[in-house]
Amino acid sequence: MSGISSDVIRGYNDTMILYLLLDRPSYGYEISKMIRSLSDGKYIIKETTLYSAFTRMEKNGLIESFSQLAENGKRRTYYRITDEGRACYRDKCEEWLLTREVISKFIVPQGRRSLPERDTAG
Amino acid sequence: METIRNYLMTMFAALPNTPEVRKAMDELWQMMEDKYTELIEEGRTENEAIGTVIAEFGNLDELAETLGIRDYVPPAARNTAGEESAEETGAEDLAADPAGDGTGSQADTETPPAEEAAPADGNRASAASGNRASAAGSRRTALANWGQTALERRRRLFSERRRRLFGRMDRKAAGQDQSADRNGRQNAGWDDWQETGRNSRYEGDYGRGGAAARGRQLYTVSADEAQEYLNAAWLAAYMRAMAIFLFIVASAGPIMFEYVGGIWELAGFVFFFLCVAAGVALMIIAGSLVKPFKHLRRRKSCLDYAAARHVEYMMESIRTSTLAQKTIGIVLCILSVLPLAAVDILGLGSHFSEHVGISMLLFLAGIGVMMILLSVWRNGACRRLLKLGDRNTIGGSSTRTQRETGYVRPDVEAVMSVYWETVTAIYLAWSFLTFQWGTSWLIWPLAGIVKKVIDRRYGRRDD
Repeated sequence: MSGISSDVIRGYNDTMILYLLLDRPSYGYEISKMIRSLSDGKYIIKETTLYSAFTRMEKNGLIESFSQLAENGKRRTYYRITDEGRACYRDKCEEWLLTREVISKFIVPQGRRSLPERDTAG
Repeated sequence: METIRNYLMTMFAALPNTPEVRKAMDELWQMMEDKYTELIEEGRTENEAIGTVIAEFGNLDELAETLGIRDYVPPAARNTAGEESAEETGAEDLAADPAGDGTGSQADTETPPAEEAAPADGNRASAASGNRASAAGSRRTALANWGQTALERRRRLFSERRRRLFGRMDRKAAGQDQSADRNGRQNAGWDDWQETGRNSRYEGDYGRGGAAARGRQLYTVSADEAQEYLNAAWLAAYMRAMAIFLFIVASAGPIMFEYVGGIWELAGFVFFFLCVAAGVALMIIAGSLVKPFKHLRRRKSCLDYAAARHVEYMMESIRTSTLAQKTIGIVLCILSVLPLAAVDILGLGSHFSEHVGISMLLFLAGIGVMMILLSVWRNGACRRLLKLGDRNTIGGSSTRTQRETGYVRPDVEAVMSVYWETVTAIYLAWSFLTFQWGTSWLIWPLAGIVKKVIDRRYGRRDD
């Protein structure tokens, strides 16, 4: 994981997991794989982070777990999103749009550093 | 694959043997296995795959909340895998011995420096200095500090725990009772708190409803403490069984020597008292052997993950020998009547041979009873440990909290605390006053039934 600090992205792990579960149920490794590929390998979620997110979200009723035989014949724990989870996902999306809107006001592309004119007369 | 499995096992070794921990381990294993399999299919080498899986495992501290161990993640189980482990060279080393002392860049930067906070002795201090060295940056230095073999490090960890165990006993001997200890801990300063906190204790938030609501502290038993208990309990079992043998054989003395008569009769009584005295002494010593482990029974305890496996293994390892002991014991008890029967049937019914027959009966029955008790007690010690934290006594299984014994009503509790003493008193009083020994024993089964009923009615239940 280079570039992204785990502290910053922690708040958005739930959003990512919920997004990946919107269409169909999935399991731990598949989700971590999809997070990696969707982020072009820029974010690799750790197993412990993923598991603690699963348990926390299950406790809060956002997802449900069930056990199912995988194609390779092994038993695997799958997760599916609940209605509450979908609602939470929408909230999270709005929250992020707002966050992005606010934060982007403070972000300047490299090379160009221009502070807005501030009224110092106050 | 085996390396990853070992890595995960070691990480979880010192955690309590609970369903939450078990589930977390299973789930994490699924993910790691999937990832490993795919990496191999992609054509990576085994070393690369292992390195990647371990590097991307994460940090056990993150699971503390999930596992109900917020306050306590033992140093041994803390993730030692930082970015270094992504390197092929580091991966094997780390995976082979993740029980290291929290060395590694991640442990240094992300976890509170527990080691530095309370370096209890030389070992701790050296581990802490090892940490600082790696924090200083040089991976090579860190690896060099790990130069010891896994065995050595484990032994060090064990000896430290042992020291703590005895330290705890000393504190107990000094008359600090548990609750005072617990209350005092809040004021006792951060260092002390951390020391005891890391000392395989934490605020237990285990089980559903009742147990958690009562907020009792859960004590985790480590594998080495479990082994120490087994050593003591098995030795005590041998001594007690020997004592019982002596008690049974003691009466053979007077019986044998009564026949000879005269001064020899005195010898018979000397034999009797010597046997009884030796037996009593053995009983007392045996009692003192297991006494340091009283806290296992008195407080809410739970085996940790490694300890449960260990005890299960020990129990399996004595299975054949205890079975043989029990069988031989039962056979001897049955055969013990043979000498007497032989004397009778063969018509050797002289006074002398009858005495010899009875003595031999006592001797054989004594050995038989000794062996039966030995097998029962040795198994019992294992069971008692496995039962900690689980009412169903399934060896090494994930466990629920220990069953609370006690009664919901304080008045019932008070009466029941002296139940068997009261029954014994009634039994003796009744028997001696009426001399109806033939019927007075009926009080025992009756008392058993009454107790069952009271337990059912007023007993405290966990769920």
